[in-house]
Amino acid sequence: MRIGDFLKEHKLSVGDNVRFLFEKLGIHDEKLLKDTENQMGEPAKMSKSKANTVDPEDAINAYGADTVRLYILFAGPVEKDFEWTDEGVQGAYRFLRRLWNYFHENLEKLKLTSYSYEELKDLKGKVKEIRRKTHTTLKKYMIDMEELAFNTAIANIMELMNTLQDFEPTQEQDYKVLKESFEILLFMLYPITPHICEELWSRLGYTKPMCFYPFPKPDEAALKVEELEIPVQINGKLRAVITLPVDADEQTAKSTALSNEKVRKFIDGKEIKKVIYVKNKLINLVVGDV
Amino acid sequence: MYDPQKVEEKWQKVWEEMNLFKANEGGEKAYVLEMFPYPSGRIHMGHVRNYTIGDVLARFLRFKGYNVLHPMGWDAFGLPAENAAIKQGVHPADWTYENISYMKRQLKRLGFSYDWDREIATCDPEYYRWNQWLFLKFYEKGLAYRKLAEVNWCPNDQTVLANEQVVDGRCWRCSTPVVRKEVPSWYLKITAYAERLLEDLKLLEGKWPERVISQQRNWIGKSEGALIKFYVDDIPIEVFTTRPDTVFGATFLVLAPEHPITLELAKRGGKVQEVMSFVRKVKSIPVKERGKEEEKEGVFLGVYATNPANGEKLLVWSANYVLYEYGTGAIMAVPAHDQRDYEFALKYQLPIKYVVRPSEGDLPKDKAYEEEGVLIDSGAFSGMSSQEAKKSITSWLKERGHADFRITYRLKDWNISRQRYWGTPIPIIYCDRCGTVPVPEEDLPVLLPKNVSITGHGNPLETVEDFVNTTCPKCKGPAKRETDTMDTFFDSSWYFLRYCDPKNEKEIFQKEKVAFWMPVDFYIGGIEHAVLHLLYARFFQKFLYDLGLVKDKEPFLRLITQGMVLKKWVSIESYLSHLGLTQEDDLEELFRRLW
Ligand SMILES: [Zn+2]
Ligand SMILES: [Zn+2]
Repeated sequence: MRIGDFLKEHKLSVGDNVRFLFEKLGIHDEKLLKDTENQMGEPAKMSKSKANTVDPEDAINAYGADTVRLYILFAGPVEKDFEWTDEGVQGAYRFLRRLWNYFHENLEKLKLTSYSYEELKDLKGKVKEIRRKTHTTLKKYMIDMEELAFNTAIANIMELMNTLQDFEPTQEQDYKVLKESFEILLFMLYPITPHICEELWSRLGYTKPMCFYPFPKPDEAALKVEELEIPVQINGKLRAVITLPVDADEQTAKSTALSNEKVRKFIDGKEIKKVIYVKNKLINLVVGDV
Repeated sequence: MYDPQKVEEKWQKVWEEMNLFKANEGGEKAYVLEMFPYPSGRIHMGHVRNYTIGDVLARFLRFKGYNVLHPMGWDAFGLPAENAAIKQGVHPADWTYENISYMKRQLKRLGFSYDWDREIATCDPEYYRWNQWLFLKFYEKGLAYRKLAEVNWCPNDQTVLANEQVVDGRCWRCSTPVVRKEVPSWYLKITAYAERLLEDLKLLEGKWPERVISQQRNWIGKSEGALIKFYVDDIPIEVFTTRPDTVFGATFLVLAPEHPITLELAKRGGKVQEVMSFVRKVKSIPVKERGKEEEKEGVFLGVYATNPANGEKLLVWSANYVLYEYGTGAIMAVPAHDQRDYEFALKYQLPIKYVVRPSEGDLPKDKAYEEEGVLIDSGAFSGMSSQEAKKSITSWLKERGHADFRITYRLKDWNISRQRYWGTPIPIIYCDRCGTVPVPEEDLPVLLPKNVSITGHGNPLETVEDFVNTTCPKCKGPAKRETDTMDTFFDSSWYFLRYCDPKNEKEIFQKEKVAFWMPVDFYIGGIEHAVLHLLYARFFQKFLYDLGLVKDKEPFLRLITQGMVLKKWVSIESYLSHLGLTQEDDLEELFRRLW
């Protein structure tokens, strides 16, 4: 029998999804279909005629509405097309499950913890960094949301979540910082995945839905990066002093030094042969005639 | 254990019981709106994307302290319900309301923060009576009128077919070849608003996607030029041209086959037989298909017109590439400077005369020169630039009574008549004595009768005696109702206003409420609505502005057109070709390659 006759007999056309050919051939192998799609599939608008739809109801049953919402917004900029993949939606689900689990690992401690901005003012070391990361993320989030850049907003929230997971709180102060970060993370996620956020929020002991509480504002003090004064030497002689953020990289140090008025006077018309940078200590420019 | 279903159900219930998303006037408002869906049966992933974007905005704006209006409803009239009735025998109303209730449950499961108290369905009489009220206002202002329109007609089913019901030129139900037919239809004079619809696009710059603005600009299609009169003896033929600078290069005229004087001129030229058979042939092809790929064809009418610029005699033709709907239905053909005229002139060996040359370089070979340039062979205007000549030549002809400056638009009036059941009845009564009589406002709504048999033959409303036969509001004598219903784009052209006051039984909406919530701050939907829906909605807003009912010139402050949701798929064809097989190969071979 010719393939064409087989198709005709089963009322198939060559423009139909190959899934129907497999069915009629008695091959019920989802993995084969999946591999075929991954290997030679073309992304196209979901449509009944192409049989490449995903029923929202099935997706909700499998992963929940929060996951579907999160995935759809994370998958790309709102104005652009995006390709639905099983891996993608599973990734979104795993993120929420991770959030859920991590939260519960710390829940008992967090419930007993309270904090105020005042208490979190003079932090040092790791907790200070965590708090800066949290408030920087919040600040970027406000801008991203205004610009409808939901995908980048979510990416930053996920990154914050990773930072929190790497953090191993031990002292009371650690838990204060963690609780603040956690609450800010819930607020940021709430418009996107409202159900899970409400649930976690209520488990922290709050009695009303989240919209009754004020949305957090970035703490400008927490955003501040510590700065140091660094001497600039030219051919070994001190010529100027510049201000750099702690742990600034060489690129930043060099460009800051070169934009300094005093430094420019000394290097004008000369060639920079070498830059010696000792992090948080000094920068030495070796110059010579062109 | 994270159990999303349990968590989600719990909170959806809490939100609903607390009435958290109910919107009342007060404070600083934000209106977030997603294009409402057609209740087709189930929501699809495109809807989910659309509404998720809206919901995130709505929830975020609430956090920012805004009083947010976030409503949802149903664009519930339309063809699929009627098709379901024909195929499955279910009443369109039952089908529609069942779908609405199913889809509403689906939307609730997604946790969207809608104020469901404001839900509207356009097929509810409480909604569509205001469609009818609006229609009466349009009629009152002279902006609704009736004229013949060309439609798809199935002679077997005796019914008008929508474009999507025509499959390869045949009726979708009975495969009878579809013919063109002219039926009287109601139009809204959107062209009266063309200039404002164009001008106010400036208010949207930076807030709407550039792509949508330019599509609307093209759709309105403003062109400035001249209206020039050519005479065949005493009969004037008016043509519109954007290139009056090329009038010295006109070598023939072309009339659309439907132009009312085409046959009259053919009579004078002694060519009635040929012209009539040509006209019949062209008319059998839908206007939309004409002048596209197919071969240009024409017929000489046997008469000559005088070029008012230089007194030369021009042949007068009729051809399929000139459409009656556009411009004046007649053109001056300048084959040297218009590619379509050029191709036509070559085919029928008509003269080609260059009257514009490029300001630098040579004229192109074997095609028309369509750019502007410097005039040649144009009498006193030779040497002038095209730009200058457009004005000078038009003024010169105008002084002598042969031309005038003219602005035209590509935008056409909007045919809102549909010869089907599942739509808003047009509130008009025909009386033998009084003529066309609008239904008085106090008699609204004109209810769509429930008791109707939908067979796919004819317009169902025509057979409902109780509906059709009525009393004339003027003379109280027997009269007949209009049986056309409205294009569903009418319903969706103002629903965003009704959300501001959805339960008002006394008026279309309370002005103050609309003044509070409007304009829509974020409107989210697909790019496919760039022209029709979004243009009609802007038109209605402007009309209501003129009635003094709304304060904003534009209804949608920011427009977000979300992208599509794609998924990989493989067709049988590409699969076979990947295996190096064709349909001619043996099935056994396919099995062998598979394993
Ligand atoms: Zn038919
Ligand atoms: Zn009457």
